[in-house]
Amino acid sequence: MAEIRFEAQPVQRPGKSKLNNRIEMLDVILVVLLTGFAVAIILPFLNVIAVTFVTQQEYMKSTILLFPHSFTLENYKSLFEDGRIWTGYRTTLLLLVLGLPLNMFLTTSMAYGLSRPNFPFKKFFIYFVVITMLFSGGIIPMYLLMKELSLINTIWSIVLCYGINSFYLIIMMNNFTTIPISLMESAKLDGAGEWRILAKIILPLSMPIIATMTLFYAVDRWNEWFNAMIFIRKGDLTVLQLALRSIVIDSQISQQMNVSNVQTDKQFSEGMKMSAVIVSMLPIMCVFPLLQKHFVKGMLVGAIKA
Amino acid sequence: MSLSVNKLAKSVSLVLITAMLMLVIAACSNSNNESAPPSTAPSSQSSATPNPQSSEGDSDWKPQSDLSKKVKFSYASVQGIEGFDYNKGDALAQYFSDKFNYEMDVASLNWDNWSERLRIWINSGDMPDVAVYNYNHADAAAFVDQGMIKKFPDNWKTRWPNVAAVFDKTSIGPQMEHTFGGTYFIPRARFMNNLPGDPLPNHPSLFLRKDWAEAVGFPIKTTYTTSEVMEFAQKVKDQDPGKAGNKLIPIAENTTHAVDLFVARNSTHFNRFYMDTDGKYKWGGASEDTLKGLKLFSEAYRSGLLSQDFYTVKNEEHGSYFNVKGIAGATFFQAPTSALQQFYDDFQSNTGLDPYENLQMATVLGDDGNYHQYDLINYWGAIIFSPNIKDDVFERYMDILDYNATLAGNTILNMGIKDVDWTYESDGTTVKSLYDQAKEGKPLGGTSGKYPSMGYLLGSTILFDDFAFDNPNSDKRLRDLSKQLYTERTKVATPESFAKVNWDLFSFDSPNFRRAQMDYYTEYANIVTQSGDIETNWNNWVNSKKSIIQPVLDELNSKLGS
Amino acid sequence: MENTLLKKNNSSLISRVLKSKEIYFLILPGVIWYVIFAYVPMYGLSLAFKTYKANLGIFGSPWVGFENFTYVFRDPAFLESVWRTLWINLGRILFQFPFPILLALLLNEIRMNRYKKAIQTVYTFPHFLSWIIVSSVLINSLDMQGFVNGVIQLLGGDPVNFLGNTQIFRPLLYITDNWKSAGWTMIIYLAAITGIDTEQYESAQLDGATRFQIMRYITLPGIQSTIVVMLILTVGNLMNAGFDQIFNISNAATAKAGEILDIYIYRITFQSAADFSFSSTVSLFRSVINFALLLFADRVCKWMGAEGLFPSMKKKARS
Repeated sequence: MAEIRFEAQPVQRPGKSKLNNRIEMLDVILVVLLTGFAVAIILPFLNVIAVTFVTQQEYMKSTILLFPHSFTLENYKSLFEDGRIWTGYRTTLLLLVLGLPLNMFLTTSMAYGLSRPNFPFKKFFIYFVVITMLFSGGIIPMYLLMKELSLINTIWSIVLCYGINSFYLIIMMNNFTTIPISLMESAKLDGAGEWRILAKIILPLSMPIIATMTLFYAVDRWNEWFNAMIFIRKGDLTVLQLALRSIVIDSQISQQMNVSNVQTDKQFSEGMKMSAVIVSMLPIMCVFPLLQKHFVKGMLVGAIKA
Repeated sequence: MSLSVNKLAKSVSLVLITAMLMLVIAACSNSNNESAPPSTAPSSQSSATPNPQSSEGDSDWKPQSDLSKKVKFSYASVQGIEGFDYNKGDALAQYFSDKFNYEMDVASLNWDNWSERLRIWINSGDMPDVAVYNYNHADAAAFVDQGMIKKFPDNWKTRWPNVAAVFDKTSIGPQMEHTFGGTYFIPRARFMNNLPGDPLPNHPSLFLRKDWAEAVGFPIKTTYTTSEVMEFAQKVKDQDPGKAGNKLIPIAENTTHAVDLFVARNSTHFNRFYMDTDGKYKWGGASEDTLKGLKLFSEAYRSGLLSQDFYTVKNEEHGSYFNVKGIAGATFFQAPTSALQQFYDDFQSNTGLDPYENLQMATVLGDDGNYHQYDLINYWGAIIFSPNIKDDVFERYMDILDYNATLAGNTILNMGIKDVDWTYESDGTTVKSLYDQAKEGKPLGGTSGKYPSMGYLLGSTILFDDFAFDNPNSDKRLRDLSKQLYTERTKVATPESFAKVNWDLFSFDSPNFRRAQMDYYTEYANIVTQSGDIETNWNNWVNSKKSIIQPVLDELNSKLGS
Repeated sequence: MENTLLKKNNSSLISRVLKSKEIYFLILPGVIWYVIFAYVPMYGLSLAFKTYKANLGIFGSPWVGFENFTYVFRDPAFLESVWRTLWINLGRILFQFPFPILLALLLNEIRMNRYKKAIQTVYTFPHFLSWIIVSSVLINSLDMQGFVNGVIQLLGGDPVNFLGNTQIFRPLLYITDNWKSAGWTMIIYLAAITGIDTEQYESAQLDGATRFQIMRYITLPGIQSTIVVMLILTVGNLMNAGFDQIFNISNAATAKAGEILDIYIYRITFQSAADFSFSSTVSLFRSVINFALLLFADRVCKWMGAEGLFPSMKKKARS
């Protein structure tokens, strides 16, 4: 347990200098299999992307659509004109800017605190966390709480109600426990306080897990919708996923058979729906490859080390 | 500095006083000229002749609140556009917010989370000032019982007579007023002057390809039984008159409409408890009629007459198989009068065929030749107020509702701004449209229309169905056809097959009753898509529901049964 | 270090608490958050024994004892949904769980680094998308007019009804979940593989072991403990898994086949009965099952010689 393994380790085993470097039949089969799965992941996306660039008419005519024949930007145009997706983007970015630092602060400091050995009531606090993973009060008391705090209809309601994810907290805590205690003890002898140790020793050593957790929280924030649906009424504070939902799967008018229709119930074309899907996953698509390297390391160092 | 402020204040108050004086004068002259209360009698005139007793201009309508004082309120409703500015977003919104001097903060709810969200808000004592509520008696009774929504002042009917007139037309309004011992809900009436039938039929209709029917030798009628629809579908499937190839969908539906077409058209009480002819309460799920409908449904599904993945159709896309893609022989679809023009236009622009020649609309009957339905009470959605709403806000909103229930207000809601989008004919009463959709290049209402705000969010108690029969913006042929379909349905029915609402049952509530609610559309679609014998599947389903249904039946029969 | 530890144990509780005050400061913000946003709302669980009256609030609502529980157990759909959840998720363990391990083992055999990286990126990407996006993409491909059926028809086959067939439904769940997240789980195993001592591989190669043998006798045992922990996490999560997925993928035809406990709770809370007491009851029941499962998983874990779910819960005697 004492060995240090924080150095960036590439995922592939280093020094895999096999004696036989020739391409075997096995390699070919492997590449075919693995590429096959990759293709199975990519193709549906390609298909969806293609759908966004064609007219409803062409979408209808073609069975296998991978490359648009008649290229049109009409779907994106009407999506942006609709405006909802912008509101969604704005709110969700705000949520990220406010929420992510909070998540990281709460989780890191608590995880570090709990990772310290042998302080009184440590076990109590860990059960304190674990219990929340199992029991929750439900939506009404949560709403009443937000109301008491006057947070309804503000971005703070969704910022605050997801402060710590207990799973992430425990992963992080486990990760911190793998840091040799001697490092901290010696810093302590030099007169450093716990906050200082956290900032100067632990964090620099834990960049991979920090990056991983940041990504996790960011993605959770990005995908947030349920709390926003309940706590926020203002149309200009609609989060991205709700905007997306309302474009892609909503307006199930027929669930209420006796509805009296008005003209405002608009039908979105398949192309427009799919462009909403593409637009809302674009940032993840862009940021993801940059962070990927980090969270691979992050998982490597901490998460599941038995 | 302070001087100029003073000056401003003075001039403002001067204006106010003048305005109030004028109001008083207007009010007096009103009471002199027109002593008759706004009529509730149905108008016999067709087309756009206004009810002569209703006020037609602003001059003889008077507000109950001080319009010079700006009010702010929060408002939640479905059918809105998220993020749209309903105060200043377009000229129509501006018109109303100026006229009534308000600023509303709109929460636009989505169809699939509307009830959930509103229920949580109300249950947490934190509802918006005004909301449009999808009336559900069990919930409503609990809200009233627990004081979660506002009780109207006793004299509201005299203060807002136009709303009161609409209220009386809805039949549920007065009924619930009686049940709850006061007014808590303002149901919005579908029909005010143009009620097409009593009991009131629903609008969904069969759209059928007339050209295809002629090609396969199928009779053109305005009523078909469910089996006849299937017969048509079979012919279309065999002969493919439209050369749609393997894309052909003889009958295009989604889950709800499929259940509606096959089960509801054969079984009046398919989704409720009902009192049978023997005076006993029974459950519609277990009725023979329901089984009959399910058998037809199953046959249509298994023989490929119905779209094979009707249950994956989201929203209302099945309609577009018919009028956009042109690959469906028929579809049972929403057909409110106000939406027909759009449907026909889409058909024309996408298929290139003349909709009036190639499209047939019809009523679907049960296989017994009767129209089956449970009285669609003349309302949809009810307006409720927060118990914490300030009096001036409440009064202002009631003013808005009251004005919009006058002919002048209602016409503006439906047609746009007077003298811009419409005007009166020389007779001074008939409405003439000034709006030319082709020239403007966009429709009057709707997200991409001239007035995106146009709709119920501007505050209305009369839904568009009523005015749609008279609305000169849609083709007269469609309006007449729609009216004819509505009227016909009431006629091809027996009192049993088209049952009037049973108010005892409607206002019944108990914990068991609440827990016996279910989504019948999903349940039936699920039974039909299972493999195996349909009757066995249905029997199993009925048995599996027995433990939650039987206690309700026992309660109903002991408390309400004769 | 031994000395300080000993001293700590001997000193009185208060002085130990005072000594650790900095640690308490560290965890304080988190604890405050937990108290306000997790523990305070927990009083809502009392609704399971009450009937909710909005005007009286949760505290004031009248107690009804176990009445709500009687109702819950009278609805056959409830117990069915409990069993269905267990079966679906046991199926996940059998059919879905091994796939990422396999992927990791296979990818580990690849020697082209660039290719490997590209593949990793592609595999892990869908994990970070919400189910609403993933389900839109998948339904778009899998429905009767979709891309997959287009290919099938092109090859001369009959279109397959992927989305509405209850027989296909469970495999569909396992496959789509793997489609979305197998790559991500794979990373965890890949990480574990890199932790295996390289000497073992070298000596095995010197002994002339085949690649398959190396995989079977070195790599697989090398990640065994990781597999066990992942398995236990899965078991502990048995009652929770899959709401988002099923909610977005199922439809009227598969509604029954997909009604797991969480979907049942959602249905009774929001769709049929307006009854928050009733749904609190079911939620409480679910929490209790979860708790039992987690304890069970932890026991099994310890029994198998692993560290248990929360290794740092134990005294860090080893460090």
